[in-house]
Parts: sequence; structure tokens; C-alpha cells
Amino acid sequence: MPITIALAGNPNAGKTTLFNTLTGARQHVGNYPGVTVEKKAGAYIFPSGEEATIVDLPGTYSLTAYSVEEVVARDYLVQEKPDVVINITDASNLERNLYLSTQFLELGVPMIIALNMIDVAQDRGITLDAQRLADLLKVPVIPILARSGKGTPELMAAALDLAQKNTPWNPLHISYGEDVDLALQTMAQCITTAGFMTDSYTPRWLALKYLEGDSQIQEKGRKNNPAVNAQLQEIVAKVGEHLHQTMETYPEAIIADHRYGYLKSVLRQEVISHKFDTDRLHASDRIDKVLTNRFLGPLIMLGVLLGLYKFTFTYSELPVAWIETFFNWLGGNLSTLLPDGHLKSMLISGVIDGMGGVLGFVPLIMFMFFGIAILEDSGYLARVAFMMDRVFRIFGLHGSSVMAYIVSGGIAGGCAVPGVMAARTLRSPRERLATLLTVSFMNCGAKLPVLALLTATFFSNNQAQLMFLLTLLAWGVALTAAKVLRLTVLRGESTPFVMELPPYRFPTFRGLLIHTWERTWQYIKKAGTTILAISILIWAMMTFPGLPQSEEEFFAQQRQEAIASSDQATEALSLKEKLAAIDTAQAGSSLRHSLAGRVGTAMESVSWLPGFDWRTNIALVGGFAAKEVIVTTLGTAYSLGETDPEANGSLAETLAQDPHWNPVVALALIVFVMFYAPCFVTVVCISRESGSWKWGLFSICFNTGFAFLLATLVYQGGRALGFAG
Amino acid sequence: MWQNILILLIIAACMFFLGRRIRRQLGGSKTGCGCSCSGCDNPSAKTKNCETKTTQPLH
Repeated sequence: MPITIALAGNPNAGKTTLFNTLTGARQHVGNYPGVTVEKKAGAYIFPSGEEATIVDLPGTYSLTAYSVEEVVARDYLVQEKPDVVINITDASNLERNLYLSTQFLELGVPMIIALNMIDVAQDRGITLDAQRLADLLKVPVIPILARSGKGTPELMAAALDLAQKNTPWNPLHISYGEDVDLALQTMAQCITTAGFMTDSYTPRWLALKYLEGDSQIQEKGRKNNPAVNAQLQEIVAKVGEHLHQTMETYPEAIIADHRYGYLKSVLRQEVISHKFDTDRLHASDRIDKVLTNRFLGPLIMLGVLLGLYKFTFTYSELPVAWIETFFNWLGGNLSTLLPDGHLKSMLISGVIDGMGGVLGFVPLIMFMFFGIAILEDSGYLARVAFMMDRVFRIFGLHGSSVMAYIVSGGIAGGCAVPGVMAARTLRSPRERLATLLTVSFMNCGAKLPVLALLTATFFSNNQAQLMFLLTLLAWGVALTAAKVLRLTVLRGESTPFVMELPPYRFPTFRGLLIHTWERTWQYIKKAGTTILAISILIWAMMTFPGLPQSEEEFFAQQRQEAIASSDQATEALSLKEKLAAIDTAQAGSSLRHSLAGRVGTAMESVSWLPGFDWRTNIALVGGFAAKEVIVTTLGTAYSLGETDPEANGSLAETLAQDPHWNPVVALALIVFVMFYAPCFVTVVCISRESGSWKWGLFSICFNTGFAFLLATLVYQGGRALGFAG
Repeated sequence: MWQNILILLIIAACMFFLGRRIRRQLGGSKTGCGCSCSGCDNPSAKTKNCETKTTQPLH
């Protein structure tokens, strides 16, 4: 049976990097805290042949249950009891990182401390004596560089050694002062006597969690034995009152102070020495003085965002045109090679004109992801979160919500699903719910092709600037919606937030390429699987049941009449035009008569307000499955309605020539797509994370209603001002 | 005739594929775990699973 090794530590200490190095996996790594919000497992084989399961736990600052990811980490350690815990610490911030280590020691887990980022510590003039630290804490301490894998063989050898020893858990007892110690002793006795949850926890640790106000443990205790729980709560209340009266403090603060005191006493014993003055500004701090400056910071942030969009749209223009040309060429050739019929129609209108429209944006997505990877890997994205925190507080959100917004597409190109998951770092349920319900307003990667198509078609001269404004609009609307929610259904106090700023790191070219490719490949894979399948189904819905016999006969009769009249006087060219017009009318009629066409037409009774025709309506319904489907559906709808094989231009050209379309309609559609119901997967995630389908349904109704209102305002306002042409 | 049969088979395959995806999403993702809209970001032969913790209702 393989041994189990858990990787645990503070956020952004390098757990996932080490996990990837050890298992060969490619879990996402970011230079900001909170990338991992759930545990992941991978396999590792030791050189001696033994097997291990490596479990990557979410980053956590403490083992007291405040947020979901802290519960995930703690529950795993306590309930699953891994053979070894590798505690990854950031050597350049050792004191803060060892705070969690003391809690592992108090729990008694068999532990190894991995001193990661020793290069950063050395650059900062910090010298560490790993052996001395190991002697004092009585656990192995191994310096490593998770990024390069340096020190990992020694680390894993120590882990194997510790696992094979199979020593029982040996909790460390720290003194918390007379008052708390006495309370702990009384509570531990009470727990032991009653056998209160002792099958899962040690009595002293359980008592400590009661004193720290761990809500999850208290809830479990209440369910397990209400009488003992009440007894423990009484002791907690008594010691709390006493501490408040004597020192104007509370047990949790005393416990934290004593843990830091214990750590200081350890570190002072020649474990750590600073070569430079401790108040010397590190390179990261110096850069931050400019980049996070109260006035300059936001301006630089906006400049970076605009620069990113300029870079993306400028450099992706040519490769996007090449791919469009390729799909036009492919469609043209297939059209001449294949016999007329449903198969030809499906391949050309459903697959090439549908899915091809989405794949055409691969270069744009790639450039955007490359730019985002630079911001993320360098550590600048964490600064964006830091600066946005001030703004978020005004809107009743928590600083931790910023990263959820950014991951969801705060800089166009994210995904709402990991954004929803990232909201797990929030401790207040109401702030978390407000974040869950508003992250989908961000411009995710799936909305990007729709926005790119419409901006390129109707605002080609100012594409980057418009995208920049749309990003600001997304943030503005999401924050306003959050404020409305926090003032109404999710009213409640805001919780304090401390943002940890990781050091700036120079991104490696290989790292940037890997990050760019990982995300681009996800986009291509989705287009080639889910989007393709949906495109084919939508094609079928746009093709069947077809025209009734009577209408078929009506068009056949019209053709015969046109041919008969041309025999007498008209020229051949005029006949061709007449027949083409009849073909187009028949195709249009057939499309309207199809299943999807009927749905789209029925929706026109309300969709005229924001200026959407029946084709757009079908696309928007399809967009609930995945937002990219809007592009594929429009591609298919216009392709099926087109009967002239020589007129197979791109979708952008078709839309530009269609009299129904103009910049105001395009802008109304952009606004609607940005804010209407989240895609199906996001709705499922919101429901799962909030624990109720009610909130998933709420996000569909609230977002769609709001988007409809906004799009109507844009369209009707634009028309009233005479911009609709 | 053969074209219609082929089309029917393709549509059935698409419906099966999407139905399976929806079932997995609703069933609490034992494989995809909803790491992004297109499933887990980082599929690796060595990555065993990606377990999603069931959360308590927020309200």
C-alpha cells in the first residue's frame, strides 16, 4: 500500500510547485495566494521502488476553521491521518510561516519542514541554520528549491524514512500562560472523562480549538454531546471574561501571542541571521513603492490593462485573418467536393462555419493568455488585488474577493468556474455569496470570441480601447451588483482583510509558454469537443423539421414560373439572379420554420426591445450551454440562410453587410452577453458552492433580467440619439 | 438515405456526449471537478483525482 504524504503550508509557499515537481502533474501555479482551494492527489515512486500518494492541500495560515480551504486542510490531516506531512515554508518569511508549523506540532502529525525559496532568502541577506532548527523543533528540516527540484531527493528520502518509522503522533505542548493553561487542563480532563470526540481528536488540541473559537469544532461538539459542549463553552466564557477584565484581551489573541513567542525563542537560538539591516528595503518593496502608490498605482494599473489589450489585438490580427482564410478555403473546397444534402450542410454550416468561428480566435486567446501569464508570474496580479481591495471595501466586498474576480476574467480571458471556487478563501458566508453571485459578470475567455467578433466588425478602429472600457464596465457593474446584494438580501458586517504580497519574480520564458499553452489548449479542446457537439445539435435544430410540402411546392412553382418567363425575353444573368433570390427566400423560410427558428421567432416578441432578431435569440439561448456557442450559432444561422456558394465570407463580413446589424445593435448585444445568465457549468458550481440550487437559479434570473434592462437602455438610447443608422 | 442515417448517428453521439458531461457536472464531478468550464485545467496521467469538498449551505 503506498504511503500518503500531505503537502501543507501557507498560501503561496510553493506547495503546488513542489506537487508538480514530484508528481509530474501540471496543476496551475500562480504567484499569488489562494491558487489551490481543494486538495489534489498525485503519485510518486521513490528510487527504491516504494510508492507514495502526494496530496496537495490548500494553503492555510492556521488550523482553526475560518474559511473553507482551512477546513479542507484541517479535516484531511485529522481524519485521513497521512503518514507524513511535508510543511512547505517560505524561507524568506520564516517566522510567519512557522506559525502554522507550530500548529502542526501541536496536532502531533509526523512532519518534515521544507525550507522553500532559500534563494530568495539569501538574496534578502537571510542565513538559515536548518540543522539547528531541526534540533530545536525535533523534526527534520530540509532546504529546497521547489521550482528547480533542488533538495527534493533529500526531502523525499527523509519523508520515506519518517513514514517507515511509523511513530505515533506526538503533540507539542506550548504554555499559553497560567490562565489559559489552567483552562486547557480542566477542559482536557473533562473531555477525557466523557470520551468527548476523543476518537478523532486529542483532548488538549480539542480544548485549544474551543478556546480559539473554532466554529466547526464547536458545532460538531454540540451535535456529539450537548452537555459536555455546554460545560466546555462555560469554561471558555469564564476564561474569556477573566482575560478581558485583567488584560483587555481574549483567549485567541493570547494563544497567538504565545505561539509567536515560542517561535521567536526558537529562531533567536542562532537559527536565523540577517546580513543586512532588517529595515532595508528589498527590491520588491522598492518596486511596490511606485506600483502600489496611492495615486500612481491605479494609473499604472489602467495603463497595463490598456497595453495588454493593445498588444493582444495588434499582434493577433494577422494570424486570426490567416485562420479565417483557411476555414473559408476549407468550406469552399468541401462545398464543391461533397454532394448536396444534409451531410454537406452539417459539415459546412454546422462544423466549419460554426466551430470554425470559435477556433479562428485561437491566436487572440493565445496572445491574451501570454500577457496575463506575464502579469501573474511576475507577481503584479497580486498588486492589482491589493490596490483593488480599497475599492472593494466601499462596495461591501472582502479583499479576498478581488482574486476571485480576476480569475473569473477581471482581465478578459479568465473563467468563472475557478473564480467561484476561489471565493472559498472568504470567511464570511455573506461576503462569499455576494462574490459567488457577481464573479460571472467578468469577461471570461468564453465571452472573448463574442466580444472580439463584434468589436472587430463594428468598432475595428478602436478595438483595444473598447475592450478596455468593457473591462471597466464589467468591474463597475459587478461591484454595483455586489453592493446592491450587500445592502439587501446579503446584508451584514464586513470582515477585515490582510493581503499578503508575494515578492516580484522574473517570469521564465518556459513558464510563460507553459501557462499560455495550458490555457490555449483548454480553449481548443473545449471548441473541439463540447462546442462542436453543441454546434451540431444547434445545426440540427436549425435544419429540422424543414419546410412543409405545400411551401416546398410553392417555391418550386416560383422557380418554374421564373424559368418560363425568362425563355421569352429576359437574359440568362437576370434568370440566375431571380433563381438565387428564390433560393435565399426558401432557405430563410426553412430556417424560420425549423425548431430553433420557431423558438427564436417566438422570443422576438420581447427581444425587439434590445434590438435582437430571431437569429441572435437562438444564439443567446445556445450561449447558456457555453458562451462561445453564440459565435458558432450565428455562424451556422447565417451560413444556412446563405445560398450563394461564392458569397462565403467570414461571419464578421456577413454581419457587417446585414442591414439588421449596426454598431448600436452590436453594443447592445455586447452588453447583454457580458451580463446575462452565467453558463451552465458556472450555475452548477454556484449552486454547489452555495449549497443550494436557489442561488444558481437566482444568478440566472437576476443576471438575465439585469442584462436585458441594460441592453434595452443601450439600444433604445442609441436609437433615440440617432446612432442606429 | 445513408446521409440521413449518418446524420442521425452523429446527432445521437453528440447528445450522448453532452448528456454525459451534464450528468457528471450535476453528479458532483468525480473526474472533472469543475476546475474550469472545460473540466480540470491540468489533466495528467499521474494526477489521480481532484476532490471537491461538499460545502454547508450559506443560507
